[in-house]
Amino acid sequence: MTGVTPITNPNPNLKWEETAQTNLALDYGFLGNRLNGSFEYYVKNTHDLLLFVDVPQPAVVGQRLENVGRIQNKGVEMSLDGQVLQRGNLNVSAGFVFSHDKNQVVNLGSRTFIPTSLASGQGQSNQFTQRIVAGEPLGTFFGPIFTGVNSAGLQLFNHYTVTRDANGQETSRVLAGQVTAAGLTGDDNVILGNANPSYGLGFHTNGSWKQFDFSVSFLREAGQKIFNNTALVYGTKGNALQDKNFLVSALNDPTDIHEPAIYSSRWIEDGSYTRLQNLSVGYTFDLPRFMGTARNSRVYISGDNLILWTGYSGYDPEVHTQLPGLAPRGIDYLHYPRPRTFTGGLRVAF
Amino acid sequence: MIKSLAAAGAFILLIVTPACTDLTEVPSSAISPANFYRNQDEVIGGLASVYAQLRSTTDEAYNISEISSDEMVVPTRGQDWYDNGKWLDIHRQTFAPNSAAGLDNINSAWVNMFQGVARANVVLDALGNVNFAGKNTVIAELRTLRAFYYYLLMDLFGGVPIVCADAGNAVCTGDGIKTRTQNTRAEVFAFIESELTAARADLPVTWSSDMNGRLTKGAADAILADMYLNAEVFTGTVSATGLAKGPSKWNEAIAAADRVLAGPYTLSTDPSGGCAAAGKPAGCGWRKNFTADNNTSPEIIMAVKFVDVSGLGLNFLMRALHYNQYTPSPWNGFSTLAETFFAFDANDIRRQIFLAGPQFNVETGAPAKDRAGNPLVFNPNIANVTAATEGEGVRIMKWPSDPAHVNQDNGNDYAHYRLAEIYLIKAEAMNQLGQTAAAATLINTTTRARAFPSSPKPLATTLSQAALRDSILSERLFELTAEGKRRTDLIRIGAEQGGVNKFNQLWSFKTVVSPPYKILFPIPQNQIETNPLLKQNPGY
Repeated sequence: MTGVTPITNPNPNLKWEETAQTNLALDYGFLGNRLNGSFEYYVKNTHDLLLFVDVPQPAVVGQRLENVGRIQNKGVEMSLDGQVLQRGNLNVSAGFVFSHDKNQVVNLGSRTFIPTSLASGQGQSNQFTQRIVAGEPLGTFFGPIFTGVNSAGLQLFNHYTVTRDANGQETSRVLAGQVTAAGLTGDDNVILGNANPSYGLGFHTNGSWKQFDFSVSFLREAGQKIFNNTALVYGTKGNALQDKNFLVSALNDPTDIHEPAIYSSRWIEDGSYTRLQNLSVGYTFDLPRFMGTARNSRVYISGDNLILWTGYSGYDPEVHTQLPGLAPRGIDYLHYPRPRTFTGGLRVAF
Repeated sequence: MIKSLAAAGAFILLIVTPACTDLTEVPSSAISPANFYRNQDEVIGGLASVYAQLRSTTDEAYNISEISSDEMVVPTRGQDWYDNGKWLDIHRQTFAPNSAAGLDNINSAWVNMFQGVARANVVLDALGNVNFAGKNTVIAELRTLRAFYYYLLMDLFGGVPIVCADAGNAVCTGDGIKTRTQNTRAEVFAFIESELTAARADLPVTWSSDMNGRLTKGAADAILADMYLNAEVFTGTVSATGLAKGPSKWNEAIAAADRVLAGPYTLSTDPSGGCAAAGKPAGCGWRKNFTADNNTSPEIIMAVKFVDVSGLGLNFLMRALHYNQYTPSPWNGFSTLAETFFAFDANDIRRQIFLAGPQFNVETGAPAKDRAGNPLVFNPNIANVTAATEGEGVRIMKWPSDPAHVNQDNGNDYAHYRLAEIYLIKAEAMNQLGQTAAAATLINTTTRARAFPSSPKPLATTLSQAALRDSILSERLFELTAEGKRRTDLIRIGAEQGGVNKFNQLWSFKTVVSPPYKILFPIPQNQIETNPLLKQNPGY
């Protein structure tokens, strides 16, 4: 006997997602274009987003594609480039790029939240780490606030007394001390920050002196939060009970060896960083006449990802989240670290 | 010339452009209810999907029912089984609409059962356009299946939306995905009752063996008997302060049970049947209800069919057994409580479902070791449920390994109803009606006679009505442990006795008396988000 199972819910009202974008931009130049740059302000409103969301039951499957809610992105991008120095053989130009983007879920239709971004690892089944919440940006972390470890080695979290009206809407929230994991309730989950940087700043400079040339670029992103899923799962000593390795950070951690890995603000870290992205130096020279037609050759050395300044405890705060679910952001789980590369070369032109 | 071609091109573009917004697609290969269910085979194919969804009744609907009772607990074992605290949230009855279990297991139970309803509705809605011999039987099966999904929803959640499009049924307000208010629990009860009563007329008494697992009159009557037994709870009103009982239906329960007893079922007592282990251990006739060949048990009235095919098998073994007791490596989770294990008489053959003490690989019989390489011993006592060791907690292995299992998928069927329970339903209703001695005798001659084959341990026929009530609750525990009944039993018998409901009382790892409204699960917050017309259950 062959069974036939419906696998999709119908949605006859489906329509295109719509985006309206307003840009105000200005390109400018001063001092005979020795200083030049651009300024852009944008507002991008997307509504009727196409999302797979839960549907009212009964339905043959749990979700369907619906047009839900409205998201706004607004921000500024600025750049300024300039000829800093031009004196004799010395030539230096520099510039920077600044960007600030504010992402906000304006509304979610009748919904107040959509859970997303599952944590990975042992003992983390169906542990959502983010919520899409009206009034908050995408990539908003949601969970309990970790406050410390008690004398028995158990983690402590903020516990709240919440009152609700007849419609289930929260009317008050009072901090009612700290509890261990056993005392956590759904009301103890709060917004723990979001994965979006408050700004990005790029700085680059290049120049030449006689036959030497150089270029340097830095990148800074600040204010974004990262969920260090790697530390959650491997920064707990309990792994030793299973003959598994754990991170050295757990060695001096007062948490008891039997305490499980519990998602909380403890594993949400500031991901701000500054990176020396690239530094290269070159020397251009003419080959001696006896080399025949060769001329204008160059030797250079270049390094990528040379220095990283960050307080983030994982390998690299620039994470690329590849998780199922809606718009997961800022989750670091066993990412292979970004390589540091050195390149050197000799170019001979004929 | 070139200019005029360009002009023509622009003109064509102008005409074509508006059409680009009309992207109506007519998929020629997609199956939808409008172009399917055109003949018997296609309708039976649709019916099979409604049966298939029964397998999910052993997932989270089963888990939340079992773990919220004193039959099961899932201790946190180091890095394993914390899972956002959802397992202990269930066991301690701290669940709430937005708690770990509320958003996860309880939500899954809601969704899975309603998907069964939806699948039944898809086929029922499409049946107007097709005729074939036996169509009325298919309709009766679909209505019975839908009623059973509603039965589980009513048991777990109380009042839920009744969704059906059957012409002529006043309760049915149409099908389709939309927001809806829920019906009261008593309305759901009446709907199930009328559906089963109507459907049973068109259900057969038996099916041929190749149709094993399809519904019969006996299945409809068994659900009815169970529902009448719990009528005081199901037709009552739950408020934040507890249950106000509805009217009892003990006579109706007895009548429905008698209809099953008059059917083609017998207790499985044949010691030659279904006993794979060498030596035919005592009670293997009883065990026949759970072994991989239990499809031939004469006792099973309504079962979920499992087969040893990837994704279509029973995986209870995986939830309970230690990592080193089975291949593939199980999950070392679900355990039973020490007091439940010790409640069993040492001579009761039904005690064989427990794995306690030194352990073996359940397939090879070789001694099993823990992860550190020491002999694996299951200790009934769990010292710290939030930091349990590998070997703590007695495990339930009521459904033994299927010798032909494919990875984690075992072909043992899971019976929602078997004859032993029908005897216990009848005896309980009789006792409620004051026929206490006759009720004790009925149990003594059926389940207890089978459970103590060599040295009988009958219940005294001189017990008071209240004492026999407690004995029946215990007998149901011994007979039906891990069969998804305990939560309902505790609530029903607790409601009968007043005071703190038995379901809300203390047991191991549940150290606080839970509020009385916990006899219903909360409606998960995810469901209220998607259907704001749902009203949260009282107290939550």
